[in-house]
Amino acid sequence: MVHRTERLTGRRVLIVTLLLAALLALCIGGGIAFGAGTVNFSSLLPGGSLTEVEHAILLQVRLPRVLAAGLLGGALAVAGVVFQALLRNPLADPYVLGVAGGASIGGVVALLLGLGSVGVMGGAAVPAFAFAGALAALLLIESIATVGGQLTVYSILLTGAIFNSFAAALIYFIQSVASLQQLHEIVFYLMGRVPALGYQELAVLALAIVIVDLAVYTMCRDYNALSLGEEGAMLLGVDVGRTKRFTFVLGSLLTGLCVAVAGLIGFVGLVVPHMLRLVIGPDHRLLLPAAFLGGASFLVLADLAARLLLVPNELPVGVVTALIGGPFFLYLLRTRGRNYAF
Amino acid sequence: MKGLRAKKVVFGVAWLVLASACSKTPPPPPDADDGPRRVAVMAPATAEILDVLGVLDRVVGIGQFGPWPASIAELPEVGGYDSPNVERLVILGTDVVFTVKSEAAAPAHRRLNKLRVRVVELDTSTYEGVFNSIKLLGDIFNRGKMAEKLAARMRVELQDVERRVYGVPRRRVLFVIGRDPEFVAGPGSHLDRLIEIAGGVNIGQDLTAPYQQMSKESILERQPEAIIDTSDNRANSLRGRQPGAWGVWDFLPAVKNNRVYWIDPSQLVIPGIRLPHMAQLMGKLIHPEIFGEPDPSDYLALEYDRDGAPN
Amino acid sequence: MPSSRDTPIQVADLSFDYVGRTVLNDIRLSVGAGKIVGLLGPNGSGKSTLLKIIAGTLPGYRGSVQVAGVEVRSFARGKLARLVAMVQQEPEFSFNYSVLEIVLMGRHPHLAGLAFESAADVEIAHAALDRCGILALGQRPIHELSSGERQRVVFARALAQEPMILLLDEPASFLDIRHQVEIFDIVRELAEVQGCAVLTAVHDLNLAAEYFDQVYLLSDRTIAACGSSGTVLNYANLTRVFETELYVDTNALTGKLLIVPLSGRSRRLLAETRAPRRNGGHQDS
Repeated sequence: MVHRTERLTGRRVLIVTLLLAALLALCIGGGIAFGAGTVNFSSLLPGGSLTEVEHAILLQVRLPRVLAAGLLGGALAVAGVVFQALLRNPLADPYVLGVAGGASIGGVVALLLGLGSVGVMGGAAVPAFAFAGALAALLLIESIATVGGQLTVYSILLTGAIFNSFAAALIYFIQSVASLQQLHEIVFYLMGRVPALGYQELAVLALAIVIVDLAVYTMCRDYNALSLGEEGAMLLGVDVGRTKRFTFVLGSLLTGLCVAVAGLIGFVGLVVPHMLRLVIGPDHRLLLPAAFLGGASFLVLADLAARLLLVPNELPVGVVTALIGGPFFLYLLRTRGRNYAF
Repeated sequence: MKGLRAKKVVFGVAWLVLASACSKTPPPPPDADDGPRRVAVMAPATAEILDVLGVLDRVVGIGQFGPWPASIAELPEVGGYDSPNVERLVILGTDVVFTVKSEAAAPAHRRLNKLRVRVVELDTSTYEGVFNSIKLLGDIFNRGKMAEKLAARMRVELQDVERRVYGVPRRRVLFVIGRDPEFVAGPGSHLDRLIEIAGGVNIGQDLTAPYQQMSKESILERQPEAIIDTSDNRANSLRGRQPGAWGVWDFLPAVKNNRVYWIDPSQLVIPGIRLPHMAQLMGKLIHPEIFGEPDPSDYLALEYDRDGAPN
Repeated sequence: MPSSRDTPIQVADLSFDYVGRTVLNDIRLSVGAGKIVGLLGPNGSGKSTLLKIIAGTLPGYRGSVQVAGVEVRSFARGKLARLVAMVQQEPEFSFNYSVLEIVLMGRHPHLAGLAFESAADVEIAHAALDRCGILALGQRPIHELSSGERQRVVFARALAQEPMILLLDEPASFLDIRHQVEIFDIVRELAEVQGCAVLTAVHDLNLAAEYFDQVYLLSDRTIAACGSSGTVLNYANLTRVFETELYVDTNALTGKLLIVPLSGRSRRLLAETRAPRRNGGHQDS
């Protein structure tokens, strides 16, 4: 285990961030290099030229998809870190918690009301409803599931199960009211997949995620203090009420945005922050940027697997992340659960 | 959770096609010479076959399906194919329930058998399944000759389509069930077979299930020469011969050669005795130069007249 | 009224209700600069609540609680945390920070925005660790430490906060006798050398007698007695407030009070030896 040696410095944050950025660049490179279709990369050399099909596969299918996977993975990992800091429990992932389930309920309701379609350019309605659903779920979790001020593992599992199964149960209802294409979209939406976005949509998504992430980053030292409990943080001068309110809103925004665009992609916010904490420590000044880059790398790779495993078929990426994250979650619950406030 | 959801996807697809299975049930000894008197049907394809066999008037209860054939549309509903209403079936004095194989309905089917209601699981979702079902229904109603005639007529019509494209270069066809992500016809589906009969080759034939998601990259790389998109069944959906959303990929031969079709799923997605008609329509879409242009009505949702025959 | 400079903690007419139940009633208390004041009383007498109110984490009180002359509930959190540090009875550590990182969190109120701790901050943290005898634990993850070690980490963090007022809630409950003494020696040094005002709740009456300048005896939600530890800590007050029999004597070395709990058997022994003489004196010798 690489344990941090002395204090955290800006230099150290910069170095780790650059290393992880290099890792992400590597993953993106891999994501672009491989895919279901074949691209002859030697034609990229001077003198060569891509065929129309290669051009389309590379620039209109693969690249935007890899970028979308990166943005979503980063956002989901940051959402995980934020919820874990707020609820002071490393198992608090947006999907496990049921916040994503709440968001998906909101998103599906917006779809059914005919207020828009999935995707950023489908209008603001789906993201807005997903945000509202996420926030409602989070407030409910906070109000009913905390015992003695701290969220227990059992209540996390319970609320998560309730929200996620409710989201799944919606399908039965949807079957009777939705059109075929709506049904199709919703079924795949709830399985979690990296959407095909245009560059303009990607730019909007990136802008929104970056703004929210930066807002979250302003509270990174408060999150450190929160690890000492709400009272402990107050004693160090943190305005806990304000930090909680902002974090609720920002975390729900991130989750709502991801769910509105990509549906239920689970466990990114669980696996990535945990692995990173083992290597770089829990300090949020480093963990937050690292989680964004690590989450981006993770989802780019998971999506690459989803694209490559069953060519010409394709797996929803949510299936891949669940295949990795489910056992990981059980392992954490079994080995580390006792340390974290049962 | 994932398991649940995966199951629901299966249901969703099953809902699209209305079934999957095979009919291994041995023909029951008819309780009269003329077969069962009171029957329930859970799928429209079965009702169509019963109509041709002249026993549609034996139907006393119907599953949850569209308003066709019209003559039985007003009958009492007896639940969906995956959730039959056991009580109602018993109260209606049903002798036989014609349904499709369904894991979800298996316990109900066992209960029905105990209550002396025979359950016959037909497979009307595949090409061979349709012919097997016709034969089985003919045997059950002691109308073997009639069933044979129907099957023979259908085979002749299908062979006729096949004959017309004999020796003609096959065109690569993409059959779209759902978009974003692309969900397409794969091997084992009646669509795969119909494409073959109508002189095409299904670019999704190396998938691993009758209906499956297909990578967009693979679709582009395989250069479909005809795209048949039945992804939406809404009344105001795009219909007719035009590129629509596929126009983005202007280098595809299907787009270049104006062979992208937007069709209501009811025309092609649910098989039955209309297989020959479907093969002809498929021929018009893949080889309009041989079969002629599709009619405007070929793109729209099927409508049935009072007699129950498709318009 | 004494000036806020000499008396950093001034509490008057303080009452506090929690879920409709009165936890503190009519509390009047002050702690002078450079003084160590003890809060004593049975479980549930409101000691922790009183400390939390002064630390500003329970703003819903009635009456007046002034820290450095300013009402606690009107303080900005960050500003209050630069003046007041508190060692909680049951500290929480949800994530596996290193000991040094935890102690550096004591610098949180002194840092602005997204800043990183400077070399000077690390020096302060190291000094605090050294003072508490846990410098060697600096790089250890907090989850690997024993309860006693954690308690010293929390104390070191409070030191790193460089407070003018130090509130301690059972700071030594997990410590062995040597470390208890070390901690309270540090507390005395803080008070006497740096003029820190210390208010501490303890259960150990001998520690109280040894270290505290003044004590407040809390009983039944209010103050039962207060004054210098020599006058307040006597047989009558202690047995009344704690509702148990004690052996109270004078420490032959220091001349301060010596308090020993009596088991049921010892109490019977006491009753037998007393009965024939019926001297009724409370100061057994």
